[in-house]
Amino acid sequence: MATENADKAPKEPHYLLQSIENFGKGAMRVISDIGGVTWLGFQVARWSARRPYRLHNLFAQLDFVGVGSVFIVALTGVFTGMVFAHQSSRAFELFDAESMVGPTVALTLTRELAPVFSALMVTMRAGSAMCTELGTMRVTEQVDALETMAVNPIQYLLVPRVLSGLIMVPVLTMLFNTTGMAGSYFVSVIAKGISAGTFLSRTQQWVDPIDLYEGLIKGAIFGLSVTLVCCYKGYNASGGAKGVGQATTQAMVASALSIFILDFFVGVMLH
Amino acid sequence: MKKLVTPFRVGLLVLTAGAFFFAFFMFARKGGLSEKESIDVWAYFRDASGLSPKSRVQIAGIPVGEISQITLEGTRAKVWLRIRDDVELHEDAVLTKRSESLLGDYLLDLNPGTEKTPRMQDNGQIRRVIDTQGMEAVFESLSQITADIQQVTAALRDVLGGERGAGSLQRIVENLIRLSESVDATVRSSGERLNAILVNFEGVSDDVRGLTQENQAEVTRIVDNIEYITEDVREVLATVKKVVGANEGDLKEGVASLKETVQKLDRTLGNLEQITHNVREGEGVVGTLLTDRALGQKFTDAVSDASDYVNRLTGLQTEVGLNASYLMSQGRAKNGISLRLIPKPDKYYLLEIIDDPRGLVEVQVVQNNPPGSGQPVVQTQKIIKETYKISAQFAKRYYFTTLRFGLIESTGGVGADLHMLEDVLELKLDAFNFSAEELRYPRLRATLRAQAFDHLFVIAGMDDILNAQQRDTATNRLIAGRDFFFGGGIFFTDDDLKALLPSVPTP
Repeated sequence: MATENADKAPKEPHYLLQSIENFGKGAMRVISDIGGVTWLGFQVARWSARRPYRLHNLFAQLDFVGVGSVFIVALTGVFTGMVFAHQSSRAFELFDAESMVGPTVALTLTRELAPVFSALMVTMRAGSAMCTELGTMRVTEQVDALETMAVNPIQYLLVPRVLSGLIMVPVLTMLFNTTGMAGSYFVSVIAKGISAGTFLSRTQQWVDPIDLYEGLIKGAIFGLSVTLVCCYKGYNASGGAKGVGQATTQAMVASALSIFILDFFVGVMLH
Repeated sequence: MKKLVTPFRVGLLVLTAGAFFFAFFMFARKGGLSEKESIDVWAYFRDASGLSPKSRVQIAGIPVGEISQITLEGTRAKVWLRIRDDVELHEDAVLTKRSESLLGDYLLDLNPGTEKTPRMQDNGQIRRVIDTQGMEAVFESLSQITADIQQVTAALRDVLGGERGAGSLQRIVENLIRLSESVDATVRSSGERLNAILVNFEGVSDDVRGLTQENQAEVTRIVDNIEYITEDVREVLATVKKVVGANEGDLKEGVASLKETVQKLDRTLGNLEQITHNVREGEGVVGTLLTDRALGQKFTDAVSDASDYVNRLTGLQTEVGLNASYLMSQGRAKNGISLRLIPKPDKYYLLEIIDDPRGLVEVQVVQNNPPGSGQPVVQTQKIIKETYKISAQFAKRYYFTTLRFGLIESTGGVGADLHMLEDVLELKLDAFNFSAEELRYPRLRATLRAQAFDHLFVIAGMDDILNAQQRDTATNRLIAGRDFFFGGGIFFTDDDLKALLPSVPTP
């Protein structure tokens, strides 16, 4: 009898098959997340055009995402500019080309660093809060309550958050550009003794308004993707407090990855 | 009104970012020469690498245009230039491609040409183009030199290579050895005769040199004597003319005056002799000073001390500063005036008077004796006084670190400054107020100080890092705990003050 039971017990699958199965599950999850975020984006776009507009909600989110991130973005910008100027001047000294420090910092900031870092700061500061707030509302059935009261939760909760990311990340990118260049000027001209005229004229020569546009376009795309990912993860959270925590962690990882992946593709497309 | 606060804050941020964007846009926008204020010309380049649209075109280092377009025509690059129309461009203009650095940063130098040729028309061609300058030219020269060296080595290989070449080389060497042996034998055989000739020549030359030297000395002496005599005669005549005067009437007066002068001189010399005699004998103040060794030593020491004192006074640098910082949690400003006395570059004394909104917390124990109960009641009172605080510190610098100790904000304390980026940036750490009852830990303050310009600095940091915030219940004033601050200040050295003070109007 015991021998028969042992024969009926499920067999442990081979580890190779298990690995393939896990990989497949992971891939399916990533693809379904991408689809979910895209679908959520369409819904947000559709509901953002419908009345009522609830400007008060929108301004509250703009204030939270934008004004609340000013200090951290400005501080990050100053120190990024300073560090980059310091390191690049050390490298350019080898070629007797310190005059290129200003353009190098300016181009890197405007095209890449400002939108990427601004979006990362917004992700860490505001995206995590959005995801947690929405996740908590979902697991405590507040979202269901909104639906019961005939209030569309996507229009009421998600539209202001996604629009605030779309609008405010480019604004913060511009702030990052300015503070970064100020930090770079401080290190290059005042500390390293590079001529102010050389620094400014070379920067003016090399930087074009198109570089600025590129950074701002990237900022808008990153702002959209970050808020969509965080809202999607929070809106679909389940499993109580633990589930909310897991959703927030996943949202942070996915947002950061989306920033870097989109940065590559947008950069290639814009050039 | 409250409803407007959020939109106002958002609007302010958007406007600020918009202003930054506009300023950046105007800064980055190129000259963008319009068609009305420029002419388009073009030139063929064999190699347009390193050039791109918007690359500068300059005359004598001054930008006068930019590259507008580069297209390929056959195997050549057709480069279109947009040049300011106030530049007189002629048909013999020359365009030179030049690299600005090793990194391949290229621009075009334009020689506008001479008036011998007509002016360049719109869409005209610049025919004279030099497109291998800078590092390219260097590399080309190196390439030519390498080719030349290769030719030489090839010729040598042809001549000396193989068995035939080796045989010729051996014959050449053998011939050289024979030639050198022959020269050596000739020199050896004629050596004695050559020595004799040389000895004779030496004797003759000695005789000649002796004769010429002797005569030359005599002639030189004669000439010198004549020169001295003529100079003396000239001086005597000039003196006599001055003393006696030009005519005979002055002669008597001159002689009398001379006699009187001689008498005065005689008396003066007598007095001088008396004085020197007294000094030698050690009489009088000067005599005692010169003859008494102990007194002389004291005098020398006194002069040396006085000299040291004056040196210290003249070497002492004084720095007066004013600073103000805004305490974010306190919501008020903290102001201070400082005086830094710097006797040496590596040490200074710092005196400060500080107006701190935290004030001074004083703990008083009050004992009340109520008349009925007989039991005294003891109360502890904390009194916050609005008073100025004083800092007096001694600081000594070691390499990139300055250590300070003394009185910090009216309490004992120590501090350290880390100097970075050639002293432009400083990280200052202060620890003080070690025994205050209201503080759990000593008051620790970290300040980042950046010198923005010659006399201006900005500061930011955190005060009382270790303690939690405590507020006065009556006034809600922060009396302890963490507080961010930022601000700035101004300072002048004594050289600046010397320059400033005379310009201050006096009443």
